[in-house]
Amino acid sequence: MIKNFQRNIFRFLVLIFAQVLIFNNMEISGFINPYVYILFILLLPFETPPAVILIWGFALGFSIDIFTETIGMHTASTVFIAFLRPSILSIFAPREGYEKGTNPRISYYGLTWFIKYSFVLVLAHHIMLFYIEMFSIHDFFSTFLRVILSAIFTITLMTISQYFIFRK
Amino acid sequence: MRGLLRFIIRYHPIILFIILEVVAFIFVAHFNSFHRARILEIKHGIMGNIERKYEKYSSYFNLVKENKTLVEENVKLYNMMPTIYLNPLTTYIPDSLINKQYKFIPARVINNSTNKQYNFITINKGRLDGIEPEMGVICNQGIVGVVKETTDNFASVISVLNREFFPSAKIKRNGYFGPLEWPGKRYDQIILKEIPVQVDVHQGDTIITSGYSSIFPEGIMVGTVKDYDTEEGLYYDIRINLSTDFKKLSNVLVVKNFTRQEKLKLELKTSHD
Repeated sequence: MIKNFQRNIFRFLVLIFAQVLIFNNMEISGFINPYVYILFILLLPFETPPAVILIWGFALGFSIDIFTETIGMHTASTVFIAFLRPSILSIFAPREGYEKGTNPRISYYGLTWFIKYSFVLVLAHHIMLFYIEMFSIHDFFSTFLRVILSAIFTITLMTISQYFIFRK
Repeated sequence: MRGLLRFIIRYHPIILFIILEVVAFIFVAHFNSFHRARILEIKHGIMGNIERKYEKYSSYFNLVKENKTLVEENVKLYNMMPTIYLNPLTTYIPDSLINKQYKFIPARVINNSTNKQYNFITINKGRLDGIEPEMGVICNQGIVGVVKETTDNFASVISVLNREFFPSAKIKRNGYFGPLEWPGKRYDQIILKEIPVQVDVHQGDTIITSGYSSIFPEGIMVGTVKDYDTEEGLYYDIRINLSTDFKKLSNVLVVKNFTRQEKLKLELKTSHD
């Protein structure tokens, strides 16, 4: 349990710095931004209580907000997917349920499962974030294009990171 | 209390979720100048709309007062018009007694009829307000009638829609005059008689009062020509669309003619022989 918590803190800090120092500077044609830090929410253990996920989400979003000077925007979207996560997990659960002692990752449940699971949450996060940023229904479709492209980019980076960095 | 809180957070994460989202949105609204400006803009848009609607409906409640001030304003302007002076002046002299021929007194119609052969109107001003018999009555659209009887507070007016009333009128374009006569049929039409057939009359010509009968000032609107025919061969019967709508008459002006007595006395003297 303690070990688990330490690992979470470590991952939390690594993802925040990676997001702030690397991914925030990756702007493809000023249009597509990856937001890989929500991988933290995706990778929390299955048995984490919903309320704890929400608090993690709030802390994570707020930390990112402090660095990007967009107080509240990442917080709102990250809390939103933290709330959605338990329901999404139960929707994509395998027939015999999640095994005890496993984590929601590719190494346990396969690439297809992970992409389905991450696609829903990343899309929800990006929709929330981009539309809060725009704060109007003006340019609805161009914003939606940004959402889709950024989501694809984010998921690609997350999947790659599963094979190389967060292997355990 | 703490147990209850723990229970709520553990088994109803949606409550914690709502609290955290509200906090996040308060942050958004509070710390981002763009979002704050946008929220203010939306708020002003909505409030502005509501206020405009409110203004639209609340203005109806002031209409009575508004009408009254407009009538007073109109009377003031009528009393400044150059045509009311004996020798029309080119400039306005702020002395109400110099040279003045007409004065207008505002009144309201309190009884009216249009469906009889001899129609009368009652107005809410009488002897105490300076109304006397034989004074003309007009309104903003045109002629109305002539005062017949007065009491202290009311006056009875012979309407133009009365078969015994023949005010004098003329064609504005060429000045030919004749008496008006109401045939007793339609409340919006009247006949102008005794215009010789050689006079050229067109549909739509403006008919105004002639000022000869010293009831109405010269130039008050009567109506426009609808059509004309020659019954006897010598004179036209010109049918006129009245400009005054007698069905909705409400604010009228009574015309006081300061020189009427003088004129009548002179005319009486010459017609004796």
